[in-house]
Amino acid sequence: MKNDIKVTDTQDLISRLRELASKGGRLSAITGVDLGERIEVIYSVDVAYTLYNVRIEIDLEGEHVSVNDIFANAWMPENELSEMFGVKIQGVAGRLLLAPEDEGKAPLRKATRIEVLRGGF
Amino acid sequence: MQITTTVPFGPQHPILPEPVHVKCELEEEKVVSVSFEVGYAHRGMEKALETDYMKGIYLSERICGICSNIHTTTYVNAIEKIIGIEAHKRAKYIRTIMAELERLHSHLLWLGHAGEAVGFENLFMRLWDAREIVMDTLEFISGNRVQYAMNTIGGVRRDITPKKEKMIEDHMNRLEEKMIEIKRDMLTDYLLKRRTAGVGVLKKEDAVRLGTVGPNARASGVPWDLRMTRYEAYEYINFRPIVLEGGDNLSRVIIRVEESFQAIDIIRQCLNQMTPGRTWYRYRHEVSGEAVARTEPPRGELFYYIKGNGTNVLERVKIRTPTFMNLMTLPTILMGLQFADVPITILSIDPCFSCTDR
Repeated sequence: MKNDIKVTDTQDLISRLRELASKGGRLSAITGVDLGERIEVIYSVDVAYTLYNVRIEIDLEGEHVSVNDIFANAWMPENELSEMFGVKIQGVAGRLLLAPEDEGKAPLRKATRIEVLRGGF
Repeated sequence: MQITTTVPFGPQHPILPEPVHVKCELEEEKVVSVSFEVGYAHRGMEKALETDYMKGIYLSERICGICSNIHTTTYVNAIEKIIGIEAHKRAKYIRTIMAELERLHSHLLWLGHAGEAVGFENLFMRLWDAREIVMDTLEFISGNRVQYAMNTIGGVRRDITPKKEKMIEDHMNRLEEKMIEIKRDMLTDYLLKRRTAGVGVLKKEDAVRLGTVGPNARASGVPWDLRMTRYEAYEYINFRPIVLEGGDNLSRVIIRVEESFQAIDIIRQCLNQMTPGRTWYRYRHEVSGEAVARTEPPRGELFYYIKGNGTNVLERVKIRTPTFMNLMTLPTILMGLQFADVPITILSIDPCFSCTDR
């Protein structure tokens, strides 16, 4: 995609996002993509109608950094990312859309079969 | 000693067209703390969209019952970017007309709800009567009142014939006449002003900090409007985003009234500029690669990320809807209000929960 910024570690991610925020950037979306062993997280930041996509691959285990202190509107997207992909994010509960009985099922992971989510239907 | 009372608001409430749960803590009648819960309309649309990309057009249209057309527009824009094609010019104009008709019917629907929320039921009936003209127009163009099935990869499925063009023009004239009268009665109404002016203020710096989008941001002085990226036929249309400074409920009412007039103007410009031509070409191909498409529906920025894996089945579809961002302003605008002002203030951000929950 246009304006892709690929980063490999958390510090680089934070510094790139801070740089975009200092230019008046607005967090547009946080997208998770299941790569199998890892999750790719794409932070899409709009700076004067130009969209920059900062991409990082994270492990399923361990705790990923939160960007809520850079973008105050990150808490809903981060909760959604955590809930839908089953990744842990610092200080994020990971509860947003799913019903209590579906918690922890990480429905957007490829390994999650859709039948599991349909329950008794 | 000050007693704190917790008042649950929703998920079912007469003022809410869709479910959300807002928990307000009150001291006497004043809101001192706010939290909210969403997810009551979660259907797993992103997972369901990991399917044949042509079926995705049908599915994406069913995410929202109000801005159904713009969901398909954004979806097909993303697919078109991936496969490297562009809709014909006439199709772009038709998509723009549909988008603006949708903005009209969404704004009129919301304004009617707002009138009802403050006890101005006559306004509700007059606005919904005016909205019926828009619904009729949509039905004449597409055969449907809610899900229009107009968009497809590479263009639109139905042309607007000269007879329909004339009909749209007549309808817009009728609607404008009605709207001028409604605007006069609405914006000079004492009750509406008392209930909305200075209530639920979202300051410009808060709107920027919280990433507010759409009319809510523009009513707080933030001139963000994705139409300025000139997607579809907006590159040929002469318009500027309408921006107000107040940031209160009244500003959010006024901006939607003004944007309704602007939508009529944009539709007229499209009709005047459109030339005969093709509206669609057959295209069937595997989707390989990824793209982001963004548009400006009635409530603000809509974001689609689509990734294809070289087959006709999509690998990932991410949808970020406008209310998903605007909801985060709720604690800020509700704090310190009298509880009686909570319903109209929640409604003032024009929330759509079928979009938010997906």
